[in-house]
Amino acid sequence: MGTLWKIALRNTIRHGRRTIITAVVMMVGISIFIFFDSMLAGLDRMAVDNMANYTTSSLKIRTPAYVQDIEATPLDKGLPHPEGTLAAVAAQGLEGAPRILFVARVSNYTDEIPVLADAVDPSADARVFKLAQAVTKGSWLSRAAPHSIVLGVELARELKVGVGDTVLISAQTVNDVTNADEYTVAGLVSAPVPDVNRAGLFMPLDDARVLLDAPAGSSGLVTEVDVALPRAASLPAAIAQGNAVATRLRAALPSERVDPIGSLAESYLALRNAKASYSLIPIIIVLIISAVGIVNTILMSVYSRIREIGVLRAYGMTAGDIRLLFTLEGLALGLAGSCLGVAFGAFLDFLLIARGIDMSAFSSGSLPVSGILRGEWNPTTMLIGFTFGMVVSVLAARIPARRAGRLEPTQALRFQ
Amino acid sequence: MTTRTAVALHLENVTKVYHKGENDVRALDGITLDIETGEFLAVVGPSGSGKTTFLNILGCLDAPTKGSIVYDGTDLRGLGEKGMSAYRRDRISFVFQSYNLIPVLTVRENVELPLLIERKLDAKEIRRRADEMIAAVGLAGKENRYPRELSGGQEQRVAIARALVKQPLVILADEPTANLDSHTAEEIVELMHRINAERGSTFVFSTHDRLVMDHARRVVTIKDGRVTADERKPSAAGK
Repeated sequence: MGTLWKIALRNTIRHGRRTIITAVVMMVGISIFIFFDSMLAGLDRMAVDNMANYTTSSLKIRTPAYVQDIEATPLDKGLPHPEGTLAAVAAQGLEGAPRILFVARVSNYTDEIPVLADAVDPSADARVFKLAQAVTKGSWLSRAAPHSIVLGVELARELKVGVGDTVLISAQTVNDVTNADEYTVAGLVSAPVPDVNRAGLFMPLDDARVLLDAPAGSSGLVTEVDVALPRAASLPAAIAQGNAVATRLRAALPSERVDPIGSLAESYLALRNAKASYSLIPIIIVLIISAVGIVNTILMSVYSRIREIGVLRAYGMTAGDIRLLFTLEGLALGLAGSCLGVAFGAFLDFLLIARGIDMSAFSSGSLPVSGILRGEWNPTTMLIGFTFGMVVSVLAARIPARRAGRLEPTQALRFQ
Repeated sequence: MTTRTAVALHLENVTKVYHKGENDVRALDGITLDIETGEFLAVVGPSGSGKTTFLNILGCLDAPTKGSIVYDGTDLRGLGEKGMSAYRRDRISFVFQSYNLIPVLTVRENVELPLLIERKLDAKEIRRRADEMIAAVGLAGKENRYPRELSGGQEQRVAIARALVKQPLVILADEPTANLDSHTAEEIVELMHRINAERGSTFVFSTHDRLVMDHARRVVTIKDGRVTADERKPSAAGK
């Protein structure tokens, strides 16, 4: 075995150009695989972080009846004891923010656009969400400035309104009659979530309760309590953390429904997984090309060394030894290609993590993937890439190795 | 393990027929021959007479269609591919016309190769034997050279050292001087002759070379697959 390894390794080095070309093809395949995986993991993380920071929060508490009828945003199915819910959240050492979600129509007195409005407690909301930091013009909501709203930048553009302008907002009250009032635009928010920019309307909880003719005060109308969780090291860790907190809150709030980020982002992750399988196709093609490259390289090696095979057979090596010799050459090639692939993939990963890619230009549809995309280290993917490279090499080497093993010693020695 | 007898190889009515399309080609036709231990035997004959087939069959690289070969008291009939490989590994060595050294191995590694394939000795003993053989063929100091750094004559010396290192029953050499100039060819033949005399190794050559024939103590002539002459010399040239 030691002699076979020695011959295999030295032949791999001796035919340096062939080895380099094959190893580089493998390197491209494996490094693209590692880079794509890092990018997709980063994309997931970014999307889920953006959802947690700007739309869904890390964990939502609502009544089961509200969630069942969620399409209708039923104001009569709000949390029965919001102060108790917030106290249960605080008891876990977490920040919670009450909100009312309601359908509103916002008008500039000429055009009217329907939106899903969020009524928020300005200070509590700023501790759970990052909307306050995303205000690009004007300021975030304040109890000190009633009758103010914050709009998404694109919604404001569509309505042709800016900071300081007045808009008319109408909505169905809890008594199912239409009410309307005028509000001043206090600020414009530009978040890395297209939905917030296109249809975001935020107003103080107290103003909304008046507009909706809903009970006020600490036990007034609240349709959901949003909870912030510390940022976990990775997406799976974030999901696990959310699930663990949800379990504890369910025990504390047995009659409420608690949805952690894993459930809130379920539809996004399902959509992304479907797209991810398509993105694997080019990687598989590159790896198939490298497999063909390995078959070709080792076949060339077999044909250039037929007499050598004859000599080894004459000196007592069996057909199995010869097969093993060329399989080891494939393994050596695979080792070179896989190591290069993992090293280059890690380098690309490093660039993606350190520098990131600005996704603003690619942002489209309603996926919350705007902002700077940063990759995520994934040692498992590197191990998979390395193992895959090695397995492909050994399988590819089997074809020429078997051919070499089948050569009769007399034929091989006669070969010119 | 078989014990050596005076007769190293006994061929009994060995026939080899190749099927080429609808025709049968009788490469060897009923050869019966004894080769004794320590012989220095040349197999001669015109091209296509069956010399190479004869050596291939002696070397267990090919099996006869009919007849038997008894090697040192062991009948090789029905050995199969693995058995033939094992026999080649343990008892037979080859010297080829175009040396056929492994280009990625050094002189020492090439000489060690048969012992490494054999897997009977430890690394230290393998190296000792290899270095001894390299010195015996006059290449001491060149142990770490690669074949590409050697002349044709030096390559053939390495091939001879490789053939002798495992102390085989018989060394088969197919036209060992054909690729060498006359001066180097003479050196190589004298080297083999000396080793034959000193160590008692059995050499069987196929050759067209008059020089080799002159050195041989026995010349077997093959024509159309048959032994047409078997001449033993009381004393060969150079002795």
